[in-house]
Amino acid sequence: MVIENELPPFWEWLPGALGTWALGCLILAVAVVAITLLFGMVVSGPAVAWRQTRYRLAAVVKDLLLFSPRRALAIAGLAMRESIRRRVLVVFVLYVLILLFAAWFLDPADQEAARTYLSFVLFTSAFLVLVVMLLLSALSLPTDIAGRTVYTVVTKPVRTSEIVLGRIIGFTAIGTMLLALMSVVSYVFVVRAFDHRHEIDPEQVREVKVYADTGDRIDLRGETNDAFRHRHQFSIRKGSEHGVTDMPLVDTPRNDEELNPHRGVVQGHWHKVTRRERNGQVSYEVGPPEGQLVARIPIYARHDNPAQGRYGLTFLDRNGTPTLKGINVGNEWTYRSYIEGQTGAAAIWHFEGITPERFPNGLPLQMTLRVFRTHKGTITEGVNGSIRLVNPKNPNIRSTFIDFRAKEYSIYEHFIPRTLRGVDPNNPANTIELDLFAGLYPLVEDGELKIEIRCNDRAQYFGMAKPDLYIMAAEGSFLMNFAKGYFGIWMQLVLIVSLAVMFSTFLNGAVAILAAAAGGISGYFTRMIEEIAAGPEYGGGPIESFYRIVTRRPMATELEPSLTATVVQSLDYGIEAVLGVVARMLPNMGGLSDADWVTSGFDVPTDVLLIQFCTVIGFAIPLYVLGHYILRGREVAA
Amino acid sequence: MANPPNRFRQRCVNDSVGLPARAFAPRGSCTLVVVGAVLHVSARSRRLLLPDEVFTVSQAPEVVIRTRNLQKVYRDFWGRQKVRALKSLDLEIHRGELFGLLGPNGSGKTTTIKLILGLLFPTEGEVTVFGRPATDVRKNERIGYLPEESYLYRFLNAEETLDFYGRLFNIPAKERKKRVDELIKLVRIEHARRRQLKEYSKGMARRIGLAQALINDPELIILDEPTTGLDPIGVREMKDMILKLREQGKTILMCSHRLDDVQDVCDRIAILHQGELKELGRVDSLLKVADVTEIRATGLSDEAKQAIRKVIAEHHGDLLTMDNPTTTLEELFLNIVQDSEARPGRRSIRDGQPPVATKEPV
Repeated sequence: MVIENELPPFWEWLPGALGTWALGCLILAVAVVAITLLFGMVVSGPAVAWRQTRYRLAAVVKDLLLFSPRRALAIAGLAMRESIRRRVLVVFVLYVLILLFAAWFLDPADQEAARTYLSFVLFTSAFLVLVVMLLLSALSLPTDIAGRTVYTVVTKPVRTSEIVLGRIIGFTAIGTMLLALMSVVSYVFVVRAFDHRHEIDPEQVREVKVYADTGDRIDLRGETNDAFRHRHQFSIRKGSEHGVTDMPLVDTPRNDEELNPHRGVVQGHWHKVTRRERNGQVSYEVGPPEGQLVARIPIYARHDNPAQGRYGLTFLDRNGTPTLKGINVGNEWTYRSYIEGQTGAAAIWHFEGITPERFPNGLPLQMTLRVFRTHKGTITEGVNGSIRLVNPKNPNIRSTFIDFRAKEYSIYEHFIPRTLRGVDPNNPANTIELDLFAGLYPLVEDGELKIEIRCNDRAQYFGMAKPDLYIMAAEGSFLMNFAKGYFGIWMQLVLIVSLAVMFSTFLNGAVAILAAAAGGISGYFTRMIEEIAAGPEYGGGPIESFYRIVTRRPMATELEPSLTATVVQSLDYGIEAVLGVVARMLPNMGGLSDADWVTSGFDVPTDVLLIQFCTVIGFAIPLYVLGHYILRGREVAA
Repeated sequence: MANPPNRFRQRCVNDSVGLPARAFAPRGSCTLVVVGAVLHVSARSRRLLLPDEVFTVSQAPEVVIRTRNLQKVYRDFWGRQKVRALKSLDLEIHRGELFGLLGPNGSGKTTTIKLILGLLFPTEGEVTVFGRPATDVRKNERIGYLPEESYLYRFLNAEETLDFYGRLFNIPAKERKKRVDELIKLVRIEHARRRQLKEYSKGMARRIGLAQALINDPELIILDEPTTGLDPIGVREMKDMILKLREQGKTILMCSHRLDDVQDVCDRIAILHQGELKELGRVDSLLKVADVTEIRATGLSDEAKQAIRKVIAEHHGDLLTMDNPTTTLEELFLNIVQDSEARPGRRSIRDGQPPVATKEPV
């Protein structure tokens, strides 16, 4: 999984986000009050408009302060009953039906089957729930107003703040119920889809003598039967009861604990194998598939704190001088820096919290480096690089270079064993055996470790940002991670329901649906809108483009200075400014989805969840207040 | 359900500020005037009220609804005037009154009710209910509203409907359950209490509509066409129920097309036409024909009738009829409408005075 933006810790993100939120709310409030005033002035004149707006604002604040949770819950209960009586649970039945027939087009034997299955269930449930809840919540209030049922509600001591929030809560609760049901069914569906067993014929198992650095030994090796269109090789050390499938035949581990980190996979998974011997009868038992439905927890380099001079990723330039940035090669993500091959340039990640308890066998590294080629080279082979581990407290304690080959757009995995060859601190010309944590010269000191990456091919570049190199720590619970994936959908649900209810306070049903759908969908394209708002490099904004089309001017040339050009460009600046504000005010729906983490087998970090949750609340609150403000000023009987 | 004494006292004190006051009893009590003494009797407990339970209010009957120069103009999306639905309405409805609002279609009576309820905002003028602006939701705590049609949630059953509306008044669960049972019995829909409203007949829907209007034991009940859609028996029952509510001391504002209904139950009426108040007064005075004497008697023989005729002739009277000499509200209403159409504009109103009989030249 490639992380496109650096993930800030929640507590560092919060103050800045709160400031932006407050500013956004202020802009929204001013804009809404200005529109109300303007509209009022046109209809009733300035004095009346001012009086009405003042009264309305006071009433809105009063309604918020005198809000009754019991009444809001009564409205929420009504919304839930309405949804259930309108057969909303049919959606769940439909989902179960889809799952029943999903086996026709999903193949559990595929190499990327786990990703496909998880993407399928997450996307389908999100789609169904979001669409249905959008329809229900956008139609509810307009139906009440059109059918005049609202008369019997607003003539009770109910405040509009309770009507709006009650609906948001009610429809969210129904959506939550649907999601909960779907998540249970989906979990069972996914787990059962991959559940299979192999059998081993004991007569096929043979003894193999292994010649290893640490001494020769004898392994029992064999092959499982065919199940799910695949079979596994397995290996158990003679005298031991436990082994795993898909061990590489070379580089054999020295003890049972080392089995797992070295394992390979077939169709994205492996199995544990147990040898049993009873009354002279030998049998082999193959466990359930493992490694497919996982929630790996990566450890990223430490967080930047410029005030203390702490950085997670630093660079050496081509002369070996420390710097905070690498080279910018141009048309790439701006936050990724590049290092040049066969120079003194290097990228150095600084990790913390590396302990022998967490990594008793070694460090499983993963890299998502970008490769930038200035010449084609051997395109099929990737670009050569090397890794070196350095003790941050004593740079003289360092490993030798470990070579690797990075390819574009792929994740490179490398396991650093607990002991490895390193440079003798007393005599750099010699190499000695170094342990990560123990010995006279440990590479990790006080939990800190530096990992250095260099590019070895001349005139080729590696691009990296802090999240591009990480160490895989222990695996988290897949069930929990799966639930987090659904929590991401739930957050999108809250936003969609809030948007739909807000629009339904002043638009009729069909238009409210369209508006909420447009708001939600454009939330998936906030980045694109921001790019448009930032101003295109060629041809200008919409007005300038139109002007160029009409006057048949080429896109790349500058407009000659003239009054028309000034007017056209000023209009474009205005449009771009408005678009920029709109882009910032739209909820980033894509950013709320945790599906990428779950399908890639990564544990969703708590910080990400907290940030997403606060973002949702940050959008839901102004939407709620806005809905309340609009409904408070509306004549429901008009 | 009587108000807590303290709450009531507070309200009465507020109402009496700056005005001469006299002893007054809380809602749900009646006053017996005995020579030289005024006793207050609780209608519920049928006991004498203690001096502490007797509060003071202004001498004039409490005004529950007051409109001043109330005007409503409906506009289109662009703010252009579509119709002037109400033109300068001044109205006062007092506590304990059963007030009828009459008018042909489009006369502005439903608009008036919507303005009183805060469903519409006035273009000019003001409406106060219990001394609060109509847009203040707190007034709704003391109001029950039965809309023109039963605008209720058709997917709920009777119990759920009443429970939902009860929750909107923050009535505690135990009390709510009791109240729901009482109201279901009152409107006689016990047999259909768990049936969804979409399966109800129109008459049943009106009954549950009335029940929801009474869920909070309101002081002011606003009934919009309460007998619409009911069969003759249902109409009778509805009217009996309305009269029963008046006996309980409720203030009732009723709007209806059925003039006989209004005539049967209302104390005072207002007649609207083309958004203007055309007549206002007590029903009995408005319907009284001043220069005609009605004698009702039973068991008179033909000789006795002859003798009566003779006596009338001796006193230079004209005998109009020996049958039931009465006018109807319908006649009055139609006269006013015809008059209004013939001579548009405001009509002089003398509240409580019978109209002066006029004859239009043919």
